[in-house]
Formats: sequence, C-alpha cells, structure tokens
Amino acid sequence: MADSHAAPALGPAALRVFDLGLGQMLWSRRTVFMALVAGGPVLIAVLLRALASLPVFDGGAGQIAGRPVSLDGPDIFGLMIWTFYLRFTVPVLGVFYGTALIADEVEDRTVTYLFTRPVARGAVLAGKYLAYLVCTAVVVLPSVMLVYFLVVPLLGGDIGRNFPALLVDLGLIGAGLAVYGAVFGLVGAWFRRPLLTGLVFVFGWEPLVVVLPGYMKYLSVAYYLQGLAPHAMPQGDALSVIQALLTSVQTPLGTWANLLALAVIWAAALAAAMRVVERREYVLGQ
Amino acid sequence: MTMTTRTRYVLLGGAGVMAVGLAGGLVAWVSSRLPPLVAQERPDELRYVPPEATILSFANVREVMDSNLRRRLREIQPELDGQREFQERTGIDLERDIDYIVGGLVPDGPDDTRGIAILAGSFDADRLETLALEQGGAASDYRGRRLITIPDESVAMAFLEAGVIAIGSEPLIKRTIDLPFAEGGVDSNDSLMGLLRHVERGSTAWTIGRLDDPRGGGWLPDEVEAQVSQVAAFAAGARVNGGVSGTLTAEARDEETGRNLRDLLQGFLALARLQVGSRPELRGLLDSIQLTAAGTNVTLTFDLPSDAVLELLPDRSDADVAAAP
Repeated sequence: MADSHAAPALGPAALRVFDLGLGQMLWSRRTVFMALVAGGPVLIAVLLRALASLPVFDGGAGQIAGRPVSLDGPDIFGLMIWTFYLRFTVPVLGVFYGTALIADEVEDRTVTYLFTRPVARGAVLAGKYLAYLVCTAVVVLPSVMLVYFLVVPLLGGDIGRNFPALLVDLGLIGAGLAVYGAVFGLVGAWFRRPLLTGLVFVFGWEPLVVVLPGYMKYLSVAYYLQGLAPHAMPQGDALSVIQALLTSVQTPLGTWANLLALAVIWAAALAAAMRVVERREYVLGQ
Repeated sequence: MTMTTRTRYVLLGGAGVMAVGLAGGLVAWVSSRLPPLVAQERPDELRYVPPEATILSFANVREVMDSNLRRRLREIQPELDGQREFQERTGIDLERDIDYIVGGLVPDGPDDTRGIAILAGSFDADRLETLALEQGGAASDYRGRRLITIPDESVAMAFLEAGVIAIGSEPLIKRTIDLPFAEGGVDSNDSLMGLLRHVERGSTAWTIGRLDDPRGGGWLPDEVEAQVSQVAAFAAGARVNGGVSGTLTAEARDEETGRNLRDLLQGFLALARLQVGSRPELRGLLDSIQLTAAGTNVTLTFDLPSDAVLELLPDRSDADVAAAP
C-alpha cells in the first residue's frame, strides 16, 4: 500500500503552489502596476485610431494630408512591439515579479511556512514561477492582441497578411517573459536587494552592452530577443534613422542560435534558482 | 484547484480575448492567402493561354479608357501613340472596341518565347477579315474557328468565340484553339497563378511572371537577364482612376537575396532623390514610392495623382511645335 503521507513529486507539488500563488499574485498591488504597463500601449493605440479618423487622414492608405508617408499600420505596430513590449514591459514585469517570487516571502516572513510544508523547496519556486508566467501572460498577451487589431489596419495595413508576424511577436513576448522571469527568479533567490539589482540589469546593463562593440552583449537577454524581432522596419527618410539605431543592436546570430541561447539561459537560470532555494538558509530579519 | 471565481474570470477573460483575436487573425490570414480566384478576378479568356506561359498580363482597357485620367489625358493628347496605325492595320479601335486584353509569353524551344494576345470586346468579324485579306492575308477554318494568317508578318488571328479574338503566331494560335479541348489553359498553372496573391483585387492591369522557370528564358535582353537572375518571380498591379497607384512585388530566390534586393532598390531610390533636383516632375513619383521587405518578398508601392501623371508626360505642345513644318 502506498504511503499516503509521502511528499508529492516536484511536478504535483509545483502545481499546488501554482494554484495558491496565482490568486495571490493576480490580486496583489503589483497587478495594478502591470495593468498600467500593459494598458498604456492599448491607450496609445486607441488614440492613434482616433487620430486616424481625423480629416487629414482622408487621403487613404499611405497618405496624411494628401502627402505620401512611408509608414503604415504594421510598421507602427512593429515599433510598438519593439519599444513598449520587448524593451520595456517584458523586462520590467520580469524584474518586478521574478525578483519577488522568493524575496516577497522572505520580506513578509512567510517563507518559513512554505518551507516547512512537505514539498521540495524547488517546487515552491517552480510553482510560483508558473503562476508568474500565467499571471503576466493573461494580461500582456491580450494587450498585444488589442493593439494589433487597433493599429495594424491604420494607413492601409492588412490584418491578414501580418498575422504570422503577430504570432511571432506573441511567441517572442512569451519567451521574453519566461526567460526574464527565470533570470530574475534567480536574482531574487540569490541577492539581498534583488529589485535594485534587477533594475540595474534592465535599465543599466542591457541597454549599454547591446550597443557596445565586443562580446559583452552575449551576457544579456535583450540581445537574443532583439535578434528574433521579425519586423521589416519602414524605409522612409526620418524613420531610417530609427531603423539604423535599432538594427545596430541586432544580432548577427541566426534564428536558431538566438532561440538556443534563450533556451539555455532560461533552463540554466531556472535550475540555478531552484538549486539556490534548495540550499540557501534564509535568515528572517527583525 | 482552489482558484477563486474572480481569478477564473480573469483567466477566462484573457484566454477569451486571445482566442477571439487568434481566430479573427487566422480567418483574415486564410482569406488573404486564398487562391487568386478570390484575390483577383480571373478573366475567362485565360483558358486560351497555354499553361506553360511564364509571363501573363491583363489590362482592363475599357476601365482605362473610361477613367478620369484618360479623360484628362485626351484633352492633351487626343490619340495614343500608334493608335491610328493600329486601327488602320487591324480595323480595331482601341478606344471603343476592346473591353480587356489578356497576354502571355509562352516558351518556344530553349531560348525563345512567343507572345499571344487575347482581345475581348465588340468586333466586326467580317470587317476585320476583309481588312486582313486586303493586306495579303489568307483565311481558313481550323476546328470550326475562322483563322486568318498574314504570311509576310508571321502573324495569325483567330475568332475564338463571339467578341473574343486571338493574335499571335500561327502555331500558337492553333494551340490556343486546341486548348479548351485538351489540357486546359494557364489558369491551371498554380505556380504562376499563385503570384496573383500579390496583386490587389480590382487592379485595372496586372502582370505576373516566373523568372525561375528554365523554359522561360530568352525574352529578356542578356544584360537585364543577368541582373534579375536572383529574382524568382514578380507580380505587378496597377489601378487607374483619378491617378495611378500600384505595387510591384519581386520574389527573391532566398531571404538573403531579398534583403540585398531591398538594399539595392533603396540605394537606387536614395540616388534618384539626390538627383531629382534637375527633374522636379519626378519628385511626386519618388515621394510616393514605398519600399518594404518581408521574407523573400520585396514590394514597391506608389500612388500618383493625375496631376503628377500628366507632369510626367512629355510636353506635347513642344513636340507639336517641333513637328510642325
């Protein structure tokens, strides 16, 4: 007869923690911040639609006030994905949620209750990480979807033709959330001031190394994510400057090399975070 | 699961938005990739163009002649170049008789191609035949169709059905008459007809062509053929109304070639913009050109209002003065 008191395996244990953690995470104050971050691009998209209904846009596709423009809805959507989501929302949510997976429990002094349950400590982190993924994906991905349908039809853009690019974007954002979450889960489990460390990484280290010559850029997540961004940037005079700025940070690595690098970072960071949580003694302050 | 009801609502809401969005996007994507039957109307006369054609064109002559652009053009230039000569030789009035033309280039041996034109409209068959015979032509019947050959010019004309005539070389015209009874026309060539997905629906004129077909060489000059050797196929479409708008899509052989092609065209456009100072009439055209690249495809779009089109035409008054005795 099986021992009914045996500790559950890693998978079922992580799912139990996920079940508890998802509700906590979704109804925390951080969600307000996440709603603002994910809702901002939707608001901008609505404003763009309102602008597009003004008489100056009556010229039809590719025209504003009768003058041709080298920018259309898919181009604007590509820029929004790049600047709002891949370079801001995804890393910022990764920092705020990832670093809090364990650090919040330590700060609230509830980590003891979790670690005294008959589940592996690594399962606690894995379950909370899963909850983070679902929690952020359920807010960010619908935001991307709304922005797509609001922005892409502008200035003659075609929803159908750009649909494969949307799927790639959704995949990229999902991968970004997963990898940044794993990296900052490790930071949260390891460092004493994880939020500060994470913010320095996202807003200090990554923007700097991806534009610097040399091999330092390989020590970032943004480098590989940007290498996978599929959008053909617009070719207009003014926008070619933006294109030059953005493509200057693009990777010479191929698609599969970028995917492999992200997978390695994700697996290594998550495994390391679980190992740190398993081995580290968290000392609760007064 | 101990998930609360409101948590479930949030999850279901997010999943619902995603499901609706993905379903809508998928339907739009499938619609955009449906066969050309939906993307661009296929004229019935395609069945008279041999299936091995490598270049296929269509022009809605009636729409062009009735367009505002043509009306404005008529004020400056009442007759198109060569229009009267064409009418004297064939008896066909371009302005009134033709509704639309379907044309094709068909391989003829390894290094040669032959052209065929199918004209649909209102034709006086007896008058056309009489005129052809006056010019040394010979009339005969082939599979119940009236076939007129003009041996000196190696050209033949056949009345395929009421209001439809074919012009081309005699063997090709005979082949054309045979087609509906044999293997069918070019509309069964999916590789070529698939290119119509790049042509906007309702285009007044379009041309599609495969350059990677080994049978299709020989019609381009050697210098041009060497330049376009990395282009697998192309599709061009134009809409004529108040002005002219259109797209030209080139399918490169691979993604790297596509990027190179885009860079090359971008360079040409930049160079043209630098040199446009001496040709201000070209500024409108250059400003309207947009270049985009996705995968192996490079697409160039333009949109010219009628004023800009008329500016591009040579100054007729100068020409008339120069031609005056």
